[in-house]
Amino acid sequence: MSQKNREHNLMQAISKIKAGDEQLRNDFIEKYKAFTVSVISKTTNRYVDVNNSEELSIGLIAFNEAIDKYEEEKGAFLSFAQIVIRSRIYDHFKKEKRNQEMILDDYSQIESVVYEDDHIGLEFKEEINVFKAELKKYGLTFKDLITKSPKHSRTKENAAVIGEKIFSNPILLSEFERKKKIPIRSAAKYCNVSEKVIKTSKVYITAYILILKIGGNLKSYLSKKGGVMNDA
Amino acid sequence: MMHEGVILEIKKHYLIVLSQEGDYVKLKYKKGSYEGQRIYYTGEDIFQRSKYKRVYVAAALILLVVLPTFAFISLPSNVDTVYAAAVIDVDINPSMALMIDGQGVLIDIDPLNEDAKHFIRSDWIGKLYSQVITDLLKEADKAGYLKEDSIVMISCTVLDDQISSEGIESDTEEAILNYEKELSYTYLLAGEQQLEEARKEELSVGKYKLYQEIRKIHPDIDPQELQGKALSDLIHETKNIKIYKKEKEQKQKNSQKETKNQTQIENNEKQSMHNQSHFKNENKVEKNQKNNDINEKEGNNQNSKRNTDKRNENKLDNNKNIEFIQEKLNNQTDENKAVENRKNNGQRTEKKGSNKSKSYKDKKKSKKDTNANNKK
Repeated sequence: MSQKNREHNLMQAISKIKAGDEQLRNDFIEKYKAFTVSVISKTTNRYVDVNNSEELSIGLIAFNEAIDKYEEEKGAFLSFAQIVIRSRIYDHFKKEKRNQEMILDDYSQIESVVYEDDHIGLEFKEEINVFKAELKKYGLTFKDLITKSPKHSRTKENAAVIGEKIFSNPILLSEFERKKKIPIRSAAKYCNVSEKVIKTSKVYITAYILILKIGGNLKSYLSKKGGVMNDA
Repeated sequence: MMHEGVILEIKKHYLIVLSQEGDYVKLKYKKGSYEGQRIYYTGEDIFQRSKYKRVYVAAALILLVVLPTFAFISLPSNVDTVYAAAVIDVDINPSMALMIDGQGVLIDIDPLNEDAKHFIRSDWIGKLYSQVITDLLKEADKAGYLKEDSIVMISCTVLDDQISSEGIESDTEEAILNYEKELSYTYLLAGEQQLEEARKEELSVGKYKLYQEIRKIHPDIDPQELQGKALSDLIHETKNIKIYKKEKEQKQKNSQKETKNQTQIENNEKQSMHNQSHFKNENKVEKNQKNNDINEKEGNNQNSKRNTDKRNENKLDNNKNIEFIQEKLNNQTDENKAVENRKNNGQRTEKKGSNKSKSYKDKKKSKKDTNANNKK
């Protein structure tokens, strides 16, 4: 869509929202959530923490505010929204800083703000350490998982299914644990796929099985969106 | 497109993150990150080390100064100010232009014909090019654009000459190979000027090239006629399905042979058989009989030269048409006749890094072919 078309559609949506279409307002905010998150992240120079929902709420509220305050004279909507979001986030930081008795002169000082919520991350920290150690036994590092994982969703989904099957088969699983690698031939037969398919995704499958083994938060984290098929 | 992920490990310049969809990704390092942290990230956060760019130090330094300014203006607004590193035109039937940046992230997508206007999805923006192609194919499939004989036409125009078009080509190839259905596609490289010319006629680069070709035979063709049609339709229209499929098979068999000798011999045989049978099909044009005899005697070498014989205008012109189109799609210049000759003799013309017309009816062999090509 050309820039002009996009702007036009945006304007239309905003007029409708201002006229009272609440459903559209919600949809609109949702649609631009990625945008909002991206602006927040660029303002704070950090990743937006899922658990630290304060930043995110502020950002979304700011976006909403931008919708209400927007007028065509103010230029492109998203640029305007960006300004509002940055401004609210910045204000928030100022407050936080005061609470922590720090002097904020400019954006660069934002680096030193530390959130208390950090400790929530511990739920994963332990499991990740175990994951890392297990991978090492199987001759893998996290980096390998990146370089050797299937890039395309279908290959990946198939690999996940294979991992599931191996994990739920006690014989295959114990051979896997004993030899510290996938028993390719028997797994291929059991899963009814070619050996080649397994070989191509063996790194991903191995990691997948290990995650299933570790269970806990890591496993349920994947199950939220088409990761683990069966929830145990 | 936003994702959620958990940070597995923090390295010097990047993070290793496991996304909620089960992908392991490298993200740019940002302050305040810690292992175990659950974060949101977008396509822009992906760390890509010069995948598409051949970065030269001086240029990199300049970029460091210039980029943050652009980065401030985030997607999807103000896209025009973020410089597109390459424009990739895709024709299935919907015709569209993908604009990607140096990291291989889609920064904008424009429809080039009616069908594309309703087809394009704005949430492809921010995704990596290879993922966009996959998504695009899925959508096309859903919408019914991908048929048995569909040919996907992809053209790449590099605007920033630090971009490696080979990276784009291999990603395209991978995306198509990995797609669940077998697809035929053509991939071609184009220059900025060709892109401009194409846009003047409101066509994608691929269709523009086709238009140039067809215009040689039918000079009064209206460029807009190509707009709403699928490549496979256009080829059908230009003539006989039988011929084209046989040509395809021919070429498929051509590309499977490893040695030139073998190719030569077998194709000589096949070509003459092919010529005979397709001439036999043409009962209407008696004049072909003469040509038939000539061909049988002198062998297929003469085929292309005889093409100019007006008596055979109907059949052979279209035959030539199709070969022409295929050649042109492969970015040939003035060597057409010579090339046709060579092809008839069974030799393969190989061009580095450019266009391969592939049929994925036999994936493995095509792949072997690519490997053989790459080694050379």
